[in-house]
Amino acid sequence: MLISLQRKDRASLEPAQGSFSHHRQHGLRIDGRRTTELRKIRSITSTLSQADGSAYLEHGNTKILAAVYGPREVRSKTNIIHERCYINVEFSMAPFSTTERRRRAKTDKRMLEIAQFVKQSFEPVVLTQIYPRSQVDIYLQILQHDGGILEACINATTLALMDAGVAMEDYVCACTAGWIDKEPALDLNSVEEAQDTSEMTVALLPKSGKIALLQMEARLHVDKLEEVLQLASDGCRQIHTVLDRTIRDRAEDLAHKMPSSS
Amino acid sequence: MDRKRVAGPENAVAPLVEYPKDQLRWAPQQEHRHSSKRQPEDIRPIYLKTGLINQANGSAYIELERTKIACGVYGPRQKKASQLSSFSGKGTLNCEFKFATFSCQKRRHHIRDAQERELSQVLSQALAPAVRLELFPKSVVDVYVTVLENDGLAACLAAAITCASVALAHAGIEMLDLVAACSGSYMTVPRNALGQPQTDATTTAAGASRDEIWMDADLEEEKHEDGSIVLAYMPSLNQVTHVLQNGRAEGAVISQSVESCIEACNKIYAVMQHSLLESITNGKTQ
Amino acid sequence: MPTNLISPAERDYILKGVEANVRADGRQRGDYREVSIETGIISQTSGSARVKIAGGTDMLVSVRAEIGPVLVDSETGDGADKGQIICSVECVPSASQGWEGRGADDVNNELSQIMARILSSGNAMVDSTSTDASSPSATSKPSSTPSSKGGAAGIDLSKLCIIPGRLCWILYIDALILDYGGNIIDALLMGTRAAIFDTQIPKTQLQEFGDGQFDFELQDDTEDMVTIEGRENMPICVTLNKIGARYIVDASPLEELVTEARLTIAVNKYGQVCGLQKSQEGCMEPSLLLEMIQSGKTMGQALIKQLDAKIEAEAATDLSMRMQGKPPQKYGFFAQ
Repeated sequence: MLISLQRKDRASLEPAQGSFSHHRQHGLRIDGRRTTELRKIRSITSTLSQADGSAYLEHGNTKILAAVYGPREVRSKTNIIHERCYINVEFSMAPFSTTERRRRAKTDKRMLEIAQFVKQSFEPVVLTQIYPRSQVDIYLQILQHDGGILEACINATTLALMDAGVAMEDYVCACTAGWIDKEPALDLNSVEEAQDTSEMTVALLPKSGKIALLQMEARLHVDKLEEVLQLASDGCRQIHTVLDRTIRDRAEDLAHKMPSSS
Repeated sequence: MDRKRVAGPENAVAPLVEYPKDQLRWAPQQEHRHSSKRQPEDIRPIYLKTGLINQANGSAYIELERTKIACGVYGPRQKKASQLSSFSGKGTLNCEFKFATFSCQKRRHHIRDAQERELSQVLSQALAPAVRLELFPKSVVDVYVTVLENDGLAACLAAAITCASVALAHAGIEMLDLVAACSGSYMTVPRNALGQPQTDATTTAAGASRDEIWMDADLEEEKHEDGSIVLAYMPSLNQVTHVLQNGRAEGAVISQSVESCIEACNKIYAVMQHSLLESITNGKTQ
Repeated sequence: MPTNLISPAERDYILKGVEANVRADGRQRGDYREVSIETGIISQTSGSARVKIAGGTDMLVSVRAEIGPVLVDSETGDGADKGQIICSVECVPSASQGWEGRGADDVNNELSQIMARILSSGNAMVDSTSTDASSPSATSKPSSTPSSKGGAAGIDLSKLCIIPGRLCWILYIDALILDYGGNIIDALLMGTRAAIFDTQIPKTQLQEFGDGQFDFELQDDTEDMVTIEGRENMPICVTLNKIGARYIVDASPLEELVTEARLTIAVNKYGQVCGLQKSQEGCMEPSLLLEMIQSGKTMGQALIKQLDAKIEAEAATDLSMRMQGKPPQKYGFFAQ
């Protein structure tokens, strides 16, 4: 389990912003949502032909493609772990993903950090001990960036891992929540993120209620922490139903396509 | 500005390089090529010599007037552990194409840029069909090409292929044939009935210009070309090993340029054979 | 790289299949797989397209127009009144096992260079429509390094200039290869053509303040955008793979492993050849080369016709949806 508290320093991944102020009308947020409302989530699995498992997820306007290879033989001998498998995560952003075109180096610290977060949240959940001396590769590609990258990464990875048939304890569902204008708000978009809002990303295992990742940037009063955490956890549970639906739809679809053996 | 190498004052500016007026103003005219009095189908005279670099297993130097290229071949030698990642029953031909920092009109960087990396790839694709790589599995042959002076990009690439092929032969690496390469440029030449240099381009109607293929074009000619083709060819086997063309052209022009290039390659082949024979006779007398 | 190995039995099967004109998936030598293209699917770009070939190849091509300084050749003074096109291709590591880490660098570089070369191929040829094409400024190449400068694949670069000598539109063409199922280059150029057709840039209005000072104003009106001039002249390409004594189009990944030599032929709709490139470590006879160029040209022209018809049909449906006040329906990644 990982807890990371950091200063707000998100400039490197933020899309360029005008000076929007998110004043609300009739209690609605800038994109017309209520404070406890998620953005629309759509997802599909098995989108890529070459990967063992893959998923495409749209979280509002944030679009992400995840691919999973493995468990397979370890590529570099230095990565062999004798009692469990090695998880490798690569994260990249398309040059056209933000409103301003920019090519990012593979060594961008912010991107490496996100890859690290994903890796650390999945290591305890994947049953790594049943794949000793092997490797699971997770590739994440952001196609469009509209806030909540980390939550989208984790949700897409969950789907892709399941699509690949990698054994896991549970779903890992992630969601963000923050504090805007004296009120907690669920699932921030990039405009809301760009202001100096305190934002928390929570990854939850819905069955056990365990927290796999809790990451927060910028400060938040300790009294409000509980409330924001609660909101984010509720969001995770809502996301769980969406992800579960995608997996079940896919399974039913496959069952349908199978020639009946009788 | 590059502060590491230019130790001038803060506000220093680069010197203005003046080119001779006639050179700057040169434009394609009827039967008048830029440098010597060449005909469209003529290539520049070639100076080709082997054994330039003593340390290398094989080497060659080629000069076509102002195009100057040196090439060294090392190997076959064992692949390094990092190169052995994938198994292959064949050897590898590793080509590195580099412009010397001073070779072009603008200074080149030490590190290979995207263009040089691509040319390296072209070089290895052009040479590989001739080299019997199946004879040395798990080994690598390194071919290093350095352009000392660049006088036309397409011509430079063609000369590099020719030079590298001779260097490979000089290194005693088994090959099926030598690879000769030649470039050609598509030119739109204004035709003037009086045979005078035409300066006013606006009077050039479509009918008054003529498409020609100028073999082995130099830099000034290349600036006025409509497109170019580089063709690598094994003359004894009658096989094309590489073709790289850019610019728009009708199908008939392409066929014609392919034929002209093959013709020129046959001429270059004789020069290559001659220089290799010379290296043997020289070796005997020494 | 395990994917790069092929067994002798598989190799033999493909070789004999090509000879007998029946390929593993039932196609003949000259048959393309089904190609699906959808334009306008990335909202934050000026133009975009997704190309999918039925065997798995899947890519996104985006065009983004940004305002930047003009690139002037210091020696000849060329380029002061021209916009620019800059290409980059990126292979996603998840698409193929050989593309992890640094593995994709060479492929990225090769594809970017091929694309830039084909797109820069000659604004020189006299167009039937353009009157000043034979003037020296139009016939001269920008420089000895055509790849990085980006010419115009028939695209009228001078129309992309905003303030001569100072500012112009730069079209960034970024391609992202998401999935590898063979025949990347053809799909890439098809996608680029579709994305350029989808591209709309805002109108600019030049204001003169006297004494040589200029400024410009962007017109925000989304209804009043302009398309790229000369886009119909853009080439596409056909890649022929020589297997044995025959050649095939649109090779699958396994067929690409058996390919001895590959020839990419770029063609525009007038049937002019806009670029040739051989790759792979094989060779061919001159007569076969000429034959391949000829058939590549014929196929390319037919392909452009089909592609344009599809692009126009999609643009028409989008327009009719807009007229009814509905957003055009895009399938994106949910297409099955």
